[in-house]
Amino acid sequence: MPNPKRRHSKQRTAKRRTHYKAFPSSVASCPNCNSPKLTHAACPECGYYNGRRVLNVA
Amino acid sequence: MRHLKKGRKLKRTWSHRKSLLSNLATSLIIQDEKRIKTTLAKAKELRPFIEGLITKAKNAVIRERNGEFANGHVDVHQRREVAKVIRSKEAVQELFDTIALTVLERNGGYTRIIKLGQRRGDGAEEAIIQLVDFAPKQDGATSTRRKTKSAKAPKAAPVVAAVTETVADAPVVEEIKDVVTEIAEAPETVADAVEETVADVAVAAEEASDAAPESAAEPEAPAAEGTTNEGEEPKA
Ligand SMILES: [Zn+2]
Repeated sequence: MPNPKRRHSKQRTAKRRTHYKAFPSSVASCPNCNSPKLTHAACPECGYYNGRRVLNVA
Repeated sequence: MRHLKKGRKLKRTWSHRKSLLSNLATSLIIQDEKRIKTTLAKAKELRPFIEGLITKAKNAVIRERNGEFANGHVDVHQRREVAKVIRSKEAVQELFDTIALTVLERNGGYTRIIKLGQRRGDGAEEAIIQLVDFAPKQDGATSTRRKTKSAKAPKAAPVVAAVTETVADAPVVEEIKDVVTEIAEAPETVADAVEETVADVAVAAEEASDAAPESAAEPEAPAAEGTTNEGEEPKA
């Protein structure tokens, strides 16, 4: 079986992982009720999307 | 290579996937509001599936209307083609008799997918898929949002104007006239303000009725009821 010729240092691993990031989800405020909501999705608070009521929120 | 490997597997075998799409399509067709809630991936797979069926039904109806079938017969072949994948007679009938007629003017794009965000539990992204022509007609969709904002003011204004005129005619209520005019300039608070003024009218009417009983006796009764139906109240 093939094996690595050289030891893979911690530094090498860490350097590769500098590009691993967590990105914040894109949150916008609802134009209808101003509560935070995901972009391109219906508002969970008031059930509006694109100026149109799409959900019956209690 | 990925060549020609279009679409999602949805973690199902071919037969299972076929059944799933058939069931989703049947649900969407039969459901009264013509909208179902499912995962975003399933909704996106369902869209081309059901739009093809709707187009088949629509074209069949168009051919029937063009008189391509003798003696008013229907396009049986197309119904059978659709019935291959939708195994519910009820749904096939709904598709050809109701949906096809409603979408007759629309060139594709019969469905709308609205994302709902992730659900609790498994974090799957959910969506609503609906038939556009069956969605309730609503003012206030993006293009008309500005119109609805300005539309509120004219609605309230005429009522206030009527109140201002008719109230001014009543002899007792000269003092309140100013108040009502103020309200006319701020239509949004009309409902509350009108109730207040109606109460004021009642008080004023009572006071006046002591002084001039004959002239002010009548406005007292309707005002005391606290009705918001101002149009009739000041006839006195
Ligand atoms: Zn909202």
